Amino acid sequence: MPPVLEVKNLVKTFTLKRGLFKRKKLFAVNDVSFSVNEGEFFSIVGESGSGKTTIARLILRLLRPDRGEILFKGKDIFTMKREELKQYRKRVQIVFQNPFTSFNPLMKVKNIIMEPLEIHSIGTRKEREEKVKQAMELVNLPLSFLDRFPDQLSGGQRQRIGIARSIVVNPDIIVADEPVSSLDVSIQAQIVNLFLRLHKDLGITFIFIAHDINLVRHLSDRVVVMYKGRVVDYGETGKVFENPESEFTMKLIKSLPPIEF
Amino acid sequence: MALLEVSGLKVVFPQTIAVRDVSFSINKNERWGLVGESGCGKSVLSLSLLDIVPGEGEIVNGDITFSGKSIFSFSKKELRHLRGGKIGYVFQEPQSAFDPVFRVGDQIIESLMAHKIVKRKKEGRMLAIDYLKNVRISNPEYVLNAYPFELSGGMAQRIYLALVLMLKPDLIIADEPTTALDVITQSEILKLLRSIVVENKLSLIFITHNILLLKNLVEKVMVMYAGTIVEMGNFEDIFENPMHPYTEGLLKSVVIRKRKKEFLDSIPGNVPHRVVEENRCPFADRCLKKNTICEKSYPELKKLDGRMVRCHLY
Ligand SMILES: Nc1ncnc2c1ncn2[C@@H]1O[C@H](COP(=O)(O)OP(=O)(O)OP(=O)(O)O)[C@@H](O)[C@H]1O
Ligand SMILES: Nc1ncnc2c1ncn2[C@@H]1O[C@H](COP(=O)(O)OP(=O)(O)O)[C@@H](O)[C@H]1O
Ligand code: SF4
Ligand SMILES: [Mg+2]
Ligand SMILES: [Mg+2]
Repeated sequence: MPPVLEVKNLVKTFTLKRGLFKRKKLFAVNDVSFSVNEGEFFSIVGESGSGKTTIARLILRLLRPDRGEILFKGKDIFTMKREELKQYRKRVQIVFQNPFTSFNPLMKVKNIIMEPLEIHSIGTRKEREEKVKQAMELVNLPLSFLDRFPDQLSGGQRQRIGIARSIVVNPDIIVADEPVSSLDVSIQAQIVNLFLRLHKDLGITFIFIAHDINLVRHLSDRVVVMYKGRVVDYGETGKVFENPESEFTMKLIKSLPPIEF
Repeated sequence: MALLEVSGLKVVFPQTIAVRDVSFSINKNERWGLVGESGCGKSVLSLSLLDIVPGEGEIVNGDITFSGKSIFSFSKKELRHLRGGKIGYVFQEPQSAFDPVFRVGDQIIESLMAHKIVKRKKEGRMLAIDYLKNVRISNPEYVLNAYPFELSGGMAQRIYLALVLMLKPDLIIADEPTTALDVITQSEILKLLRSIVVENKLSLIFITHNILLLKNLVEKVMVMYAGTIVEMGNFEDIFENPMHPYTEGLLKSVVIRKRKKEFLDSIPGNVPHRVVEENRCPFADRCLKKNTICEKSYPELKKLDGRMVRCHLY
């Protein structure tokens, strides 16, 4: 499979203000390269603050890098203009970490899911409603939820809404930033199964960001491990976790529950 | 004599029953896990052990004894000594255990003086430095002068553990103390907690939704669903051979014994938002093994092979 997304020597710094005149540059993402193949389940792991979300935001073009490029099917996303950019934004969707804060609480479920269709001017009103219903069915939510508000739903149900919203425009890639870490383990398994179905049945490419190596190991074809903004391990999931190059990955594996005290 | 004994406890809120029919007893030097999905009543149960009920909740039935005496007959002074003294409570969000506007050191010293562990500030500071070293804080002086927001989650949790220890508890209740931490920090805190409890011969109640965290940490476990205990006994026995379908579901959703990319076993549906008295099993809506009787009668807690199970299968 050819790469669908290539991240090349990506650097993103943030300037931290320390006092009145002192400034400090923080390398949130520091010379990161990897590529994601079409149709694969790709994962990014790393400890808190290692730059995972920053990479996700760069991929979605919510941020611009200091240096480096991201190629989508060979084309640099940071030089894309109007129509091309609009197409790209349709092809790549995100599911957020926290299902408790990621939606407008005043919007009904159906409007939340429909919004991307409106942004991308897809279909007539009727066609949009039909697509919303299909998406609800795909994520196993009853249609009776369409008129509810997000605060009337559980965490797992909200995460399903987030997923329905991301698949309604038929994306090629879903970037999921810790989509299950705020959920109970029992509900995590439900959501993971949903991702697996979308991956297997619809052939969607996943970029899955997570802390839970047990899950990552189960789900992903290839993985990149981040530590303090840098890539410390990269490759086939089995190889990386059986024979990691970095001490950090080693430590991560040893910290997995069940813990040996 | 048991250190803590709970019998027939029931805690209700205007909209729901949060805890019901809960009885158990914890001995000195015993480590317990309390596991269940969010909303099952774990926090309400553990807070009620301190005679604390949030909001409009009320303890309407049952008794709780600590070292043989009912906590509902405690004087104000005894209750103060129980809360944070005899029972140390560790929270999910480590930073929230501290007041954001005061320096960490001042808060620790104030607690030590309020619980009469030390008489003078200077003495408190010395004690704090000692204990912070014990929880492997390498720069205790710096930490004491810091404000809570300047600490990482892992650091705040270590410091809070040190404070809990300084107050010389008999029992530590840890309510999901690592849920907000990353995997490596989580493992460090669990190791620290276990060694503290073992070395000081304390009792422990460790609350979590992830049964895998309890392995090698606790000796006994209670599984809670819809406000009540559905299975209770030796951790290893239950981990190896769960009898209640809910326990089985909790285990299967974390212990992945599957080929790559195979669908995981999960518990369908959600925890009920509202629990009422009903003549049926509260787990029936989600149970893969339910029978006609499950819809008709509320299962009793039965003693079986040295454990307790609340299910009509047995
Ligand atoms: N807008 C910003 N301004 C300043 N610093 C930032 C900004 N966004 C991120 N950072 C910093 O960049 C680093 C990487 O952050 P990022 O959110 O990408 O981490 P992460 O790997 O997603 O962590 P987590 O697992 O906690 O979600 C951190 O040190 C973070 O504090
Ligand atoms: N302050 C409160 N007011 C009303 N209901 C509450 C309150 N706190 C908890 N509950 C209810 O009590 C039940 C048990 O909650 P809780 O003990 O917090 O669960 P857990 O800790 O297992 O996640 C839930 O149904 C919850 O909605
Ligand atoms: S009583 Fe019936 S419904 Fe309840 S857990 Fe047992 S088998 Fe399932
Ligand atoms: Mg992040
Ligand atoms: Mg709780």
